[in-house]
Amino acid sequence: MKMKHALRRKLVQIAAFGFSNIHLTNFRGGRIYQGKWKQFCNPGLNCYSCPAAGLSCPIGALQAVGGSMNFQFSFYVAGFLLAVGALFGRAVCGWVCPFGLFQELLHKIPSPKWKLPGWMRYLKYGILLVFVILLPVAATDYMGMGKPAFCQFICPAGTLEGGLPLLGTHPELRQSIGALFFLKAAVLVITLGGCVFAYRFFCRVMCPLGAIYGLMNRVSFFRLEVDPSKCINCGKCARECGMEVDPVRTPDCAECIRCGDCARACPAGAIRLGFGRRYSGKKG
Amino acid sequence: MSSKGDHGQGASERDGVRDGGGAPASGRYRNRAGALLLAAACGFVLYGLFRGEAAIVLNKAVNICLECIGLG
Repeated sequence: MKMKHALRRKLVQIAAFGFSNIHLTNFRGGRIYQGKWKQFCNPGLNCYSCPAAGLSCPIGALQAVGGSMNFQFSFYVAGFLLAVGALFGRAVCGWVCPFGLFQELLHKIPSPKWKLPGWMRYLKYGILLVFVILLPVAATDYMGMGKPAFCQFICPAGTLEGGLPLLGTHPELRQSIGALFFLKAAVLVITLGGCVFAYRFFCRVMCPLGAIYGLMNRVSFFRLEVDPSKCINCGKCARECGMEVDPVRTPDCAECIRCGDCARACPAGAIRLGFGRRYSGKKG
Repeated sequence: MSSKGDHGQGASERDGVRDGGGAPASGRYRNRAGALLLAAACGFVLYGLFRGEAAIVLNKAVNICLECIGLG
């Protein structure tokens, strides 16, 4: 049963990773997919400059519209994110985000494992506000166009999925490498190192997409529930949680990625993950 | 200060479920809020499509984003 759940989630993650990056042959020659599917956003974080990407990155798209000449806010992308968040909350991070799967694999590398200080989780809200929402709108050129500041200065997914493959296949792009690239490369190295030592370091500290979905954990239809009539207060769920959430105290914590590891660990079967009705408390 | 296993009871436990960090959020409230958010989201998407935002997204996504790869 335990293996079944873990395997099921991993299979969903791999399938989502494959669906997000379906144009694998584009790596050869360093082309990017240019079809109409790219007007749609991926629910997870996946750079649209990755040669294999078939959909748009929602954070990149949010900044692209916000920094455009005509609009300062993207109703299209915000609506997409609200809809996905209302349905699934941060389950997107735990089940379908390609960069989330990558981070989990990195964390399997044998090394000392760290817990993160609680204040670090708030950094991602600052990144969302400043780099994704404010700077693309406020820091504009003479034509009124802003740049995607999160992509430009921070996003390690862009450097990894888009930067490295494209720079590796385009000598003319390599000639343009400058300080900005080295800044982003440093962020990438720190992020990858952080993910080895701390579970989903990027998700917990830096990801603006996770910040948005996390805020909707409280109202999402896909939810985590604890049945108090079954709970034996053993604390196993909290110890099992890689995101350092106590699901009994805060089942709707913005950090919870709905992976279900707590439900799997619960010896009393008191934790339920899914859609539908809440526990009535009478059925036991 | 309670121990890890000593989980205090929140107001929402009256209907049998602990919820939202102890906040008294009933299932009905939650479902309504989710449905409202979903309806608003659909409205946002339609309005965004009407304004032509999908074309901006497409235009950005089908070209190599120099900012994304660290050159912009």
